[in-house]
Formats: sequence, structure tokens, C-alpha cells
Amino acid sequence: MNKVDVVIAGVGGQGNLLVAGLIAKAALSQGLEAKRSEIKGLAQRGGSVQSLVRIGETVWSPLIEQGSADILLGLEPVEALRYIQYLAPIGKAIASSNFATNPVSFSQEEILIKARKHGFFLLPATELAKQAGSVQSANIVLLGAASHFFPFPAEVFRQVIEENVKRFLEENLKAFELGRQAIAIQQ
Amino acid sequence: MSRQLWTGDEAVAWGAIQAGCSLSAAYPGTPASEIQEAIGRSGSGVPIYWCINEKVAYETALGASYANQRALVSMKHVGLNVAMDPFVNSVFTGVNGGLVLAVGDDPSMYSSQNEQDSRLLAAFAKTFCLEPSDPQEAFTMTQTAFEISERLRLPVLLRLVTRVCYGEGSVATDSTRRPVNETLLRHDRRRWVVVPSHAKLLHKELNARQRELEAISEDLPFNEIHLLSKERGIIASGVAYAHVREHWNGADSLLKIGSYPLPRSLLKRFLEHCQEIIVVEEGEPLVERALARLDPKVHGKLDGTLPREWEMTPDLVAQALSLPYSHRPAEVGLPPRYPGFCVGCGYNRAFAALKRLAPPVVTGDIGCYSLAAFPPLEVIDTIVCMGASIGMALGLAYSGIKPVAVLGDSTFFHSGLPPMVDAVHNRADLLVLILDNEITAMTGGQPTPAWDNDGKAPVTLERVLGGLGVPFQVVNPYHPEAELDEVFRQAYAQPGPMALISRSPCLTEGKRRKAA
Ligand SMILES: Cc1ncc(C[n+]2csc(CCOP(=O)(O)OP(=O)(O)O)c2C)c(N)n1
Ligand code: SF4
Repeated sequence: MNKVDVVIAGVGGQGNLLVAGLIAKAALSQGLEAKRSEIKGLAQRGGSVQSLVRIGETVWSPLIEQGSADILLGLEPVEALRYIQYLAPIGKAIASSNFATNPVSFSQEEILIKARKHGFFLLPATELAKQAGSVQSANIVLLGAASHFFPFPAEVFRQVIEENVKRFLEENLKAFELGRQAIAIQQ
Repeated sequence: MSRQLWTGDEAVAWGAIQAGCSLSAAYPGTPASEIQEAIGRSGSGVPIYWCINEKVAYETALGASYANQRALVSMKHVGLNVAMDPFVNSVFTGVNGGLVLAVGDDPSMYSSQNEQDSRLLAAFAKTFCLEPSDPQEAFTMTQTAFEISERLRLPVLLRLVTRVCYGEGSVATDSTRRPVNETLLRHDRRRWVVVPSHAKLLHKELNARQRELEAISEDLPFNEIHLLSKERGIIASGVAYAHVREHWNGADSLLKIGSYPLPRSLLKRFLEHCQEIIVVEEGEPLVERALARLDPKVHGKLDGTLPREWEMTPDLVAQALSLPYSHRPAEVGLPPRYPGFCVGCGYNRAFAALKRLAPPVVTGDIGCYSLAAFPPLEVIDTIVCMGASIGMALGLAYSGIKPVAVLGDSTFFHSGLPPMVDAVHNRADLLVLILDNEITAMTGGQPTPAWDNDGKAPVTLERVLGGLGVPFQVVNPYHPEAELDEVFRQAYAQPGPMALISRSPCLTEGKRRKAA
């Protein structure tokens, strides 16, 4: 089965929609169908943002059922946990361990403990993005980390990044590699 | 034939372009704003008009249709409440060039003050309605909608929902673009002047034509019947059909609905075939109600098999069909994340000053500034619909309470003007605080009538208020607090009506304007 359902959780401004779009385009380039759905609105003023991408031979619904996502990709650890009910029992959960600022105070350590309990792969996406030369590219770091779990080679993602990311291309490609390696080491 | 990834909004835009549409009119509103934005970006040469409100947008499109042009008008669901008057009456007059009204409903209210089902409004107005289930259908149906509109000489409502508008999917297109209609004037006062003597006949005619509408609906490929198992059948429409297809086992009978008035004979055949029926639709139980009256074996929202509120999901469909369904429990007690103004936005400072002024009541409106009803500011007491800030302030003032009405520049033009005229005329004692960020920010940075780009004539707030005879003052919210407090205090102390314009360009969406 080539079907992959992905929930991407984050905060406004983290480039959630870009990642969702790249996954959909990658699927299309492989002759698969793709559906992508997102919620905009007040979310853009710093609230949580959730995108759904579904790829496969045929995809009907734009929505993903709770308990059935193959990948939960968290651009931020709190937001990732907010959607844990979507993850399938054998789904992969990947999240950044770097927090976005939140007007409400909480214990970061507790959140990370919870995430580990759910079996999250955690990686410092913002730090890795900085290392790649562009703080903005944490989303691409995470895409790199998730790229292991798609039914096509990483090259397909490199290609869509090249075709669709206009600014900081070199840095983004590097960010993709750093994310990909970070997971390869943990696995 | 090529295949592209489009959102439903983009698909509607391109469907209209391909259908030879020659004018697009809209007032922004989530989730429909991106239809006209896509036309603007398309390079197709189809002119777009961001009108001051939905009523004006609808009338603009109707005027173009009068001249035999194909016109598209788009808005969000509550926008149709504003445009309801010309919409309903244009079903009486009929149209000349094809007129398609694309409405974005927002089930679950991701970005809206309520949820309502525009299919009911099409039925109320007695006109034709199409409901796409995905971007591919949005593209095809938009073109069909123009054809049907011209064939019936009626406006056609295209009912969209957030998940179709903002859902992206692959769309197969062929590249032939229909030429635009010739501009023609065919006067017919018996149709276009809806005075009682004409309207009485027009209503009879409209009712008599409902059969014709049904017959067209009956023949469209958007309705699809699969008569399989007699034990159970599923009827689904719009995006709910996509959720159902996700779970369909190929054994249950299935009826897809894509057009209204309902294809009656298909429904009848289905009803006769199946022992039990579950109806899955987004919004109100419209299909279900049509059937439930006929037969108790129909299940859906009316008997609680499915919930009456909020959007349809594959999860709900699974449960209604008694399919296995489980998931790990949601994490409870996670820190909430409240949206807030962008860092450095002038709204923060204007609202802080208003909070220090502490008037007895602040009537609010809809825009970024709606956030000031929530912590930490909590200054706005009411938000009802666009323009209601000044309208409700009138009633409060007449009741002896001096209110402050807060609204944005775009909202002021949209529906703040008429109550402002009343305020002047009745010497209503109220203060209007206009937050002028020089853009329609909430919906993604659409223009306002004060813009002067592309050779347009700027209609500034100063000109409008001056013309109405409203005393006003412009303040810069970034000025020192003490200074700001003094301005607010004096403005409120002065017998109203009085207006304060707090001017601070939007920091986020404003960039788009510069880039454009
Ligand atoms: C009748 C209606 N049409 C459209 C909308 C969508 N909408 C919400 S806020 C808004 C405009 C806000 O512009 P403005 O008043 O200038 O405030 P800003 O967001 O720029 O602060 C619009 C169009 C709506 N809620 N109701
Ligand atoms: S989008 Fe503009 S108006 Fe809205 S909060 Fe941000 S800066 Fe302020």
C-alpha cells in the first residue's frame, strides 16, 4: 500500500503549509493522488495550525480519521501532542524538541517526557536549521526526518524542494539532509 | 489534458476563467476570499473588483449579467446574509449572462461567527445549486454552473465548504477557454423592474419552472446511483461524500448528491430499493428532511445517528456506519495557545488606551481586533456581525448609555457607513473608534476603498467622515501613553457622535500590499 496519511502540527509562521504542499507535490510527481487540507484564520495570528496531507493511489476524503495517521509531524512539541489522538497505533511520530513561545507558562520537561512516552522521535529542528544556515528551515529539517517513511526515495523530495523553494535553496537542502540524518541515527 | 494541484478556491477561479467569465466581484471572507485572489493572480485578464460589501458585489455581478456578460461573485456564508436582498430578487428578474454565486460555508466555524448552510438559501430563493465534493468537481461544476445559469436564465449558487475551498487535490483540465459573451443590452422591464404588478407574475412563473430545474438536476452526472445491497444504503452529498467513499465497502448501496433541487426520481428509486438508509451531509439535514417525512427507515441528523452541528468527518461516518473505530486518547491538560496581535501591532496600544478609558460598554466588530474581546485585553463586550458595532451603539446611546464602538477601516466601509449616517442625523451620543490599519488584514490583506494603486481614486476615511459631518481626530497609537490617554479622554467627553481614527499600518499583511 502506498497510502500515507500525515498530520502536521505547528504554530502560525512555522511553514506548516509549505511542508504539506511539498509532500503533496512529491506524491503527484510519483503518479499518486494527493489531498491536502488546512485551517487558516485566527491561527495565522500565532495560534495553532494543523495541516493534513493524504497521498495514495486513490484518496477521497481531505480529512484524516483519529487513530489512523501514518505520520504525525510536529513543528513544535506542544502542538504535536495536541494531535496525538490522530496517530495510528503503528504510526511514526516525529517532532521538534524546540518550543515556540506561548503566552501560557508550562513545564517544557514534562511535555518532552509525555512526547517520549508516546514514542516520538525528537530532534532539535530549530538548532539544526541554524546549523544549516537558515533558522526558518526547521520545517524542512522535519520533512527530512520524515522522508524515511514515504514510499519513494528522498531524491523525490530534494527535487520538489529545488523546484518549489525559491529562497535559501542551498540552506534548505542542507536542512533536509540534517533532519534525515538525525532520524537515521536514532533508528 | 494536464493535472495540477489546486485548492477548491483555485479550481473555482479557473473554472470561471475557462467558462468565459468576464467579471469577478467579491468582498473577502474566509474561506472564499482566495477565489477572487486566484483570478487576480491568474494572468487571465479577467478583471476583479473588491467591492465594499457583499450586497454591492452581488449587484455588480448582476449588472454585468444584465449586459449579457458571464459574472462570478464570491463571498463567505454570512456574506450571503448581506447580499440576500439582491440575490433573492434576482431569481425573480432572472439573469442575462450566466451568473454564478460561489459561497464558502464554514462548518465548525474555523473562522466565522456562525455556521449556516447556503443550500437552504438557494432553496429559499428557489434557484439551482451545485455542491462539489472536491477540487476536481469544483472546477467542472463551476463551468456547468455557468451553462445552467444561461440555460435557465437564473443565478446558480455554488455551495462550497471550508474543506473544499482550502482542500488541495489534483485537477485534470483541458485547455480550451470559452470566448466571453458579446456585450448586449436587451431591455425587458417586465422582468427587470420588480414592482408588484410584474413580480406577481414572475413569482408564478418561477414556481412553474421548478419542474424544469428538477429535470436538469436529474440528468446531471454529479448525482450518481449504485443500487447494490438492499439491506443498507448511504446517501451523501458534497465533501461528506468524500468521507463516505473513504469507508464505503462496495456492498452498501450508494447515492451521491451533487445538485439541487434534489433529483427526485433517483431518491425515489433509492428509497424503494433500500431497507435502511443513512444520510450524510455537511450542514443542515436538507436531503434527510426531504426523505424522512416519507419514510421512517431514514437515519441521519434528525434521529441523532449523526450530530446536527459542526463539520462532517470520516470519524463520524465510521461511527454512523458501525465500523470499527478507535484511537488513543487525546492528551489533556496541554497548555492552550491563544492567538494574539502580531508583535508591535498598533492595535495593542490603542486597546490598552481604551481599557484605561474604561467606558461602560464597548461594542465590537469583526477583524483582527476581535481578539481584544479575549484575555489579556478583554475590552470588547459584543461582537455580532460586521457593522453591528455602530448599529448597536446607536441603541445603547438612545438608552442613555454612552458606548464606544470599535471597528476596522474595511468594516467601516462594509457596513459602518449607514449607522454612522443615523448617528449624525439623530445626534447620537457615542464615540466611534476606527482602527485604520489601511488594509483588510483578517482575511489576508485585501484592499480597501482608501487605496490609490492602479489609478484608483482613494476614498479616505477623512473624506467620508468630513462629508457626513462627523467631527474626528486622527491619532497615532504609538505616541506616548499619557498623550494617547488625553486624546481618548477628550474624544469621549465631547458630546457625540465623534470619531477617533487610530492609524497604524498593518505590519504583517501590509508587506503584501508593498510587494503587489
Ligand atoms: C458579512 C461578512 N463578510 C465578511 C466577513 C469576513 N471578515 C471578517 S473580518 C473582515 C474584515 C476585517 O477588516 P478590517 O475591519 O479592516 O479589520 P482588520 O482585520 O484589518 O483589523 C472580514 C471581511 C464576515 N465576518 N462577515
Ligand atoms: S495582521 Fe496586521 S492588523 Fe492584524 S494583528 Fe497583525 S499587524 Fe495587527
